[in-house]
Amino acid sequence: MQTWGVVYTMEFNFPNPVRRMEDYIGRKDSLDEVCRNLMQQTPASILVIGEYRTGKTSFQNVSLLQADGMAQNKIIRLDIRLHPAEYFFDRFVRELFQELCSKVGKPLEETILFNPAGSIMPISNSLLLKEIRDLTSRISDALFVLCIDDLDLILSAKEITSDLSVDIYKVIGLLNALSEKTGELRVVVYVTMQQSPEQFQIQSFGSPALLQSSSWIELRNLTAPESRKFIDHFLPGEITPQAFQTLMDLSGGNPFLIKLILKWFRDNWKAGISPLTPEEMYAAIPAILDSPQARLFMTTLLNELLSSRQRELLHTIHARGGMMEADVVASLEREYQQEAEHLLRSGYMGCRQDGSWVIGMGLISGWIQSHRGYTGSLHTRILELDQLIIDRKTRNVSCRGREIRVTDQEYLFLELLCQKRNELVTREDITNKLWPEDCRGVENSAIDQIVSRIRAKLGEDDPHKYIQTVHGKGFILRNCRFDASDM
Amino acid sequence: MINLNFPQPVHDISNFFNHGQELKQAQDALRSGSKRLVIVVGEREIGKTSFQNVTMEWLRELNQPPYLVDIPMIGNIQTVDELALEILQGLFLATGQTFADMGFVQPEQLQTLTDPDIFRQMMLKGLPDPSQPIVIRIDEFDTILNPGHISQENIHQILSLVRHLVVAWKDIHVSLFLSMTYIPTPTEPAFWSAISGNTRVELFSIIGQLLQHAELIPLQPFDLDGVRNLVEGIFQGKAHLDGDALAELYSMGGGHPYVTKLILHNLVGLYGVERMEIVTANMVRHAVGEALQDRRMAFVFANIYQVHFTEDQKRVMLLLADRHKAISSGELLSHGENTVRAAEELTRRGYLQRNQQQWSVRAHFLHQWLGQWDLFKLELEKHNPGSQSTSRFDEGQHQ
Repeated sequence: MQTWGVVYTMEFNFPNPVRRMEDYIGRKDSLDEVCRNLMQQTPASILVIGEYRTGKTSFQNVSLLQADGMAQNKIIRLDIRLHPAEYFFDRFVRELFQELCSKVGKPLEETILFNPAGSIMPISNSLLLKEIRDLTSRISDALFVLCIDDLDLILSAKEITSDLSVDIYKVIGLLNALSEKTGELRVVVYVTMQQSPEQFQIQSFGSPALLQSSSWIELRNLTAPESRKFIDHFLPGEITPQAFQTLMDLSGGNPFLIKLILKWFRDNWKAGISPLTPEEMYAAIPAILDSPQARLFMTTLLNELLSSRQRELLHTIHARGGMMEADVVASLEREYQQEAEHLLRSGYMGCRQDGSWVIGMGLISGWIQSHRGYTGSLHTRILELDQLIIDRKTRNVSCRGREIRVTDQEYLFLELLCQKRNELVTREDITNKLWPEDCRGVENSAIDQIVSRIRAKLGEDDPHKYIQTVHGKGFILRNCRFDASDM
Repeated sequence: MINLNFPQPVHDISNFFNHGQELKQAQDALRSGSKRLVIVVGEREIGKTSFQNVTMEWLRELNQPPYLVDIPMIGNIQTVDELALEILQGLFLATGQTFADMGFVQPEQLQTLTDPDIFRQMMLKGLPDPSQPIVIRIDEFDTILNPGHISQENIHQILSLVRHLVVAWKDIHVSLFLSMTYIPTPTEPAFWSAISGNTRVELFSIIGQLLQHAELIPLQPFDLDGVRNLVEGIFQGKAHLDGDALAELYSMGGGHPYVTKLILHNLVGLYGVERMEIVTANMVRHAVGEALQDRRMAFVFANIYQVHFTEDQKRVMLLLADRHKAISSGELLSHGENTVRAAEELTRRGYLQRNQQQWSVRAHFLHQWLGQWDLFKLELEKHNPGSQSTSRFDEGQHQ
């Protein structure tokens, strides 16, 4: 690729995010939209919504590089490198100031965060904003872009860890203020989210100012012409039109999955080979799915990101030969139809003209096929989480190879948690399951006793390692990464 | 180049249209100090922040402007000492002092700010001229009166601080300029139900006293003339809406500035100002169809629906969106004894209108949005069990 007289070689930087404009393919309209926004007199904040591994980070990187080359103002990027569980307001502010100071060349100790004696002082929000304004005005004609990745993970941390709830609320408050004061402060907040904001409780955002005043950009899977460019640039040889269609069927246009497939063929390409055929592509699926990146993608998607109903839908479609007929779709309960919306919008599932549903990414089907022991479906026999195994037929429970005797109620409780792992199981859910006929009179202490007995029986070093308490709400089964290939 | 100021609030008076009488009311009260508590009250997205912005700008332009203090990020304030620190440091900034001049508030001093005398002394110490009036502006003040957000003790302390500022202290000329979605009068059960007995009596007393000293400025949706004025102000002769188009815009937006601007924003996006010399009703309808697909807008309305309506009000809105026609009081009553009262409240808030004994929605856009919302059917079933949706959106007539 030649630009301005400089010859570039496109880098196949899988699985890392793209960091150079010349390595990026597709999404031109969305990139242009971000640039247009940033070039305005008073740019709005930016919200990029995209599924897991649709390339949000790469998009963020490249869009800012592109804007920097086009806008009159110099784009100065500010990154917050905190884990979601570290979003305490003071830490966030300190991280922001550190980043700002390093970019404008002022020692952190000279900011209002510190008094002359060097200790951190209580400061008002007005002073905080004034100091940010003063720091950013040290570089004239600069536009500072504060990048926050995966805002939904941060909000989830707030839901789970009560210690953080007030602090994350305050962080969102600061982001709201920065986004409202864009014109005056020359700071644009650039946020990415996996889930759409509509999926969250509105109150999670405090005031919805940030999202309301943002420019929303939704990253979808790539179109066929965009995917074709990947092939042209990164496949060492030719591909038949049918094989290209197979690539689209397997990946659904998801850039990560396209690169995953390409990676295998690049690594295993033999010189002089004839054009790649669909048969060769299908034959490679087991090996592709065996790569660490594929395993991480599939287990994260299926075990952590999708809800139990969504998992169940994908498994049921697979079990029915890859398709759910329109009449079956129509007969599904409304809750399933509701959750299917997300699968359809994200491309994990497709809807044919006749109203039937299919799995939208063939590799997901291939994963389910080769991991039959996967336990997301309510109809499967064995639920296995990390080293905790529940046999639903015999009702045997074992942990780290040791059989554990459980009462009926304890068993039902564990089964419920496993079915909805990584999701909140409310006290109401538990009462309904364990005491279906007498749920009104059940006291919280009865549930707490069961939880503490199970924790003791599991013999956890950290009693909250698996079963986490969400104060006032219920419990979540955590820290379990299921990989049925280990069975 | 037209400037819609959408969805951001307006800062410049030249982009602010209508509400002339209300502006004068606020300006008079704040300039003269006749009322030391000036409260702009209105629904979400009715334009309270813009109203405050242009009023503060007007004050700033006076020959002898008061000290102007703007308290940001009100949602982050949860205790009275945080509010006191905010006022104190905001005042120092407003008086043009440097950070070195104003001195530091040591962490251990923070607690002492809850003592009104210490707070007052620190304010006086920071004022170069105590006789000069001070206007403290707080947007969305009801955020810190939300019992779900902060404790009732803190609510009590914060309202006590407000009482000291605007009623008790005669030697500091402070006016508070607040915006609120609602005033916690006894007709706001959501507020009072969370306040326990003893505190309730005291809060009744404080709020009653404050309201005696308050200039209340309610903001309502525009009438048809107001919408015409808004359109003409925005387009400045570059585009004209014919009579039918204006009527359609008014019918859809109900005079709500946010909804009206949203439709205009989409109109400009669809046609471009250069192709909009004469805007027809059909073009407005296309813009409405486009706006209905806007997910960001859906997020805003879902927020209003979920956070700012009571359960009874939701029931009424859902019923109307389902029927897509007016509904009589008698029929409303068959869906619950509180529905008529909820409809009256929604009318007062500008969401419904009443013609004799028939209730209908004021802004048909909101009606259409609700009918096509992802959660509409679930909500309808939840609030009106057994109800069979008759929405036209079921029949493939979706715009």
